[in-house]
Formats: sequence, structure tokens, C-alpha cells
Amino acid sequence: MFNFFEKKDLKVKLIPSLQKVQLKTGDNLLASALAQGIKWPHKCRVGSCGTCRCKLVEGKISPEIDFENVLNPEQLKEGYILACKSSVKTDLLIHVNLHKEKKDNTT
Amino acid sequence: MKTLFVNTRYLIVPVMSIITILGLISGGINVWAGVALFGISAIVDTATKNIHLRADFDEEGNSYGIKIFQYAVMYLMLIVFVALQLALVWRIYQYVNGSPFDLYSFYGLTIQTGITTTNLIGAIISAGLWAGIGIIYGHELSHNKKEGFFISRLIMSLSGASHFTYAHVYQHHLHLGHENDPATAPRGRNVYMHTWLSHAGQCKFSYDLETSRLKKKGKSFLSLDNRWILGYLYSLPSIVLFVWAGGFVGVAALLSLWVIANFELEALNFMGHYGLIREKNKPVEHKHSWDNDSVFTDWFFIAIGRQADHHVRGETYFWELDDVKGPNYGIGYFSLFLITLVPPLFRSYMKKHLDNWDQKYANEKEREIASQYGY
Amino acid sequence: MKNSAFLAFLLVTLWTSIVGLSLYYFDAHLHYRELNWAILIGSILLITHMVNMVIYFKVRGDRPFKWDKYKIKGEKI
Repeated sequence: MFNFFEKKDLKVKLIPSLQKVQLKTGDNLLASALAQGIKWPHKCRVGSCGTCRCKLVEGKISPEIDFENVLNPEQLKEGYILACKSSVKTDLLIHVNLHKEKKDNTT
Repeated sequence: MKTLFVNTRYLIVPVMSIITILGLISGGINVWAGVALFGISAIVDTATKNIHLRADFDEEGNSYGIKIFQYAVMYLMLIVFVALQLALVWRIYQYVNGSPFDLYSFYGLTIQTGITTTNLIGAIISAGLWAGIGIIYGHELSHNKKEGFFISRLIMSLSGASHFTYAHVYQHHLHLGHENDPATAPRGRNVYMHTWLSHAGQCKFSYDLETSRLKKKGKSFLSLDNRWILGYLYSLPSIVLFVWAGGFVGVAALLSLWVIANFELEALNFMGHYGLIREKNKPVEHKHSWDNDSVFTDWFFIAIGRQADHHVRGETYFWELDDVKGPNYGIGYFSLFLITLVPPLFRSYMKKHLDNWDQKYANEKEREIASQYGY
Repeated sequence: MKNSAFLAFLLVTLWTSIVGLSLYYFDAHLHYRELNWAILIGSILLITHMVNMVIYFKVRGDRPFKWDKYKIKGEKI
């Protein structure tokens, strides 16, 4: 009866780096990755700079903020998400460039 | 027990807000309840300034906070703040009508109809003080998606500051510690000037954001797609209600409520980042925010005082924010707020804190920038 | 710099006064208890406030938000 509330163990696979992130249902994608030593590009962590953007290839996340305020329609259509404001729901396959230059609109 | 404790300790504001509303409804001297509660909070905050607690996690590292409960409380606070305005509007209506003084009982609550000018002023101040505290929920929900973000906009619209929800996330969090962030107060500015400049600056950001966005989409500025205009439209029901209830008196009351509430909102911004400097293009670090995390401040303001952790781990729920050894005033928000009201006293108080920040936290460039300013 | 602050203050005061006097001229202070009037007056007051904010933005620009005026020495950041 209480399985509904139980947090499942989930796996996030990153491509092309082939690194993995272990987490539970509802965990924050970026925070979990950083906690496990993955150098995921990020800056604001509130969903406003776009630095942490990545492509959701497989699986489901629950966005914790409206991505359309930062990601353009083409990016949204291609499945881009903001890792800092993504709550993981299932196993994921994510395409993320871990070595990209920080290009965003911060000061 | 721990779960119950962690989740109920953040109910200080809901409880006090409801008491304020009951005070407004009850009438007579009770309309000053909101002011009295604010004073009591200041005393308790000062008395407990040396008690600091860490965020609570179990042995497995899981938080005791229950997300669904905390969010339910935050969403319900919109109703509480609307009720606060309705209670004040009712008193304004009675005042303008010259309602006779009479006593009634309603489910055990003694209600005095009619209100004196002095008590009306008390009612307005009470309502303004607690409407301003709505910022803590407006802030937390601004970091959420559609429904939460919308509720944040509505809560802030009750104080005519709906632009805050966009400006806080898309301006303050990006430009913190730099002059491109109007919510960061530079050294030498007082809280009164900051209230206007921060309010206007964030409003301008929202205005510019929409001007640019609508232009890109080929849409007119004057449309319901304009989120700057929409934000103000969310305030229209409040305005109409106060106009209807009291005409000129109603408008004056609403204006007073908005001034008090916005003053509180901007005072929090003022206290959160006063005089701290971040070099352009450098990452936001713990040192770019002042922490106020004494126990009463932490529970009352739902951890909004843990600015250092919040600005570095923006995705973190308020009940999980922790002490990260950032710069700390050493006193709670209420105590500090009272000091800010006297600018020379505030600058004198800040001198040692800013000197400490310059020596222990600032890098060479930040120190160089800081040296160009006073206190 | 001070001229633009004075200009903004002047324009805001002028605009608000025009609106206020117009409302008085049309006896708004006698009709506010009628719901239609309350909605109209409320809308006018809201538009007045929004126009005032735009006047301030256009006349003052980004100048008020710069930190230069608080400097006690040195050049711009």
C-alpha cells in the first residue's frame, strides 16, 4: 500500500561521456550528478542561466520551473531540459556536453 | 516526533497571520494585534540570536521535511493573505460608513463593529506588516513551475509587486553582488533609498524583459501576453475592493499597505546582500550573501535567511538549506531590521562586518572594488 | 543627472494630478460605491501607476541604479 510513496533507485546514463548517476525518484538531476563528482556545467542553479541544459533522450523528468523562459522553442522541441530544475522520475538517458564553454546571460 | 517538529516549526507566520486577521475582525484595540505580534517576534528574535540550528536529516541523509505539506501551506497562504485584505477592507468600509460601535459574538469571538481613526491606522499597519511577510512564500514559490510560480505572482500582486517573481529568478540570482542587480544594495545606500530603487529596478527589468520578448515574437506591448501588464492586472481586484470600500480613504489605506509591505520586502533584499561585491563574470559563492540563521529568524522566515546556501544551491527546498559558514551578521532579521531603520546606526554596525568580509572573504579584485566605497 | 530626476518627478506629479483632478471633476468621489464606478476608478488608478513607472523608466533610464554615486574614491567599476 505504501509502495506508491517509496522512492525507487534510478540510474541516469550520460552520453557521450558514458558516466552514470545513481539516484532515487524525485531527486534533483544536477544536484545528484554534482554530488557524485560529475563536472556538469552549471551556474545559477535556479533555472535562469541555461548553463546546465542537456538533452533528455529517454525517460521522464518533472520540471520544477518553466523551461521556456530560458530555452528557445527549437531546444524545447528537441527535448532539452535544465538539469538544475529537473526532478527525476524514471531511468534516464541524457546527452550533455560536460566540457562546454559557459555561455549564458549572467553578469 | 522529529518529522512533526521539523514540519510544524515553520508555521509561525501562518499562525500569526491568522491571529492578525482575527484581531482585525474582532475590532477595537485587537486590530493592533498584528503590530503587537511583530513586536513580540522582534523580542523573541533578539533573545534567541545566539541559538543556531543546522538543517535536519536522518541517518540515511533524507530530510524530515514533507514537501507536499510545506507546499500545501504555501499555497494556502494565498488565501490567508487575501483574507487579511478582506478583513481590512471590511474595517475601512465601516469607518467610511461611520458604522456605530456595537458588540456581537460570533462562535466565541467578540466582534466590535465601528472603528476609530486611531484603530483604523492600527489595522492598516497590522495588515501591511503581515502582507509584507508574504514575501517569504512569494520568494519560495518563485523558484517553482507553473502553478507555484503563478501563486507566487498572485501573493506578490497583493502588494503591487508581481514583477518580483520574474526579477528575483531571472535577474537577482544571475547578477547578485553587481550593480546589474538592483536588489543588491551597495555600500553607502540606506534602506529607504534601496526600497525605491530595488522596487523600481526589478519592475524595470520585468518591463524590459517583456518589451524584448514581445518584440521578438512580433506581438504588441499592449496585450494580455505582456506579463508585466498581467502582473499589475492581478492587483486590480485589490484596488477595486479598496476603492469600493472606502473611496479616497480606501486608496490611501491600500497605498499605505503597499508601501509597508514593499518596504519589508526590499529590507530583506537590503539585509541579504548589503555591501557584498562579486566581480563581474565570476561565479556566485557563499561569500556573496549574508546569512541570518538564528533559530527564530530561520523558522519565522522559512529559512530565507540562509541566503548563502540558497544562492549556491538554488534548487534546494527551504527546509534543507544549511549553515555553510558564509558571512553572518550574528543577529536575526528582526533585530537587524530595526537597526537598518536608523541609517547612521546601521553603517556604524556594518563597519566591522564589512571589514571582516573584506579581509576574510573577498578576493583581491573584490577588495579593490570595495575600497572605492564607504560603509 | 539631477535634471532627469527633477523631470521625472515633475512629469509623474503632473500626470497623477491630471488624473486625480479629472476623477474629482467627474465626481468619482461621490460614486465609488457603485461597482461599475469602482472598477473604472480602480482601473484608472492602476493605469496611472503603470504610466508613472514607465515615465520613470524612460526619463531616468539605468542611471538611478548605478553605484557610482556611492563611491568615495576611484573610477567606475
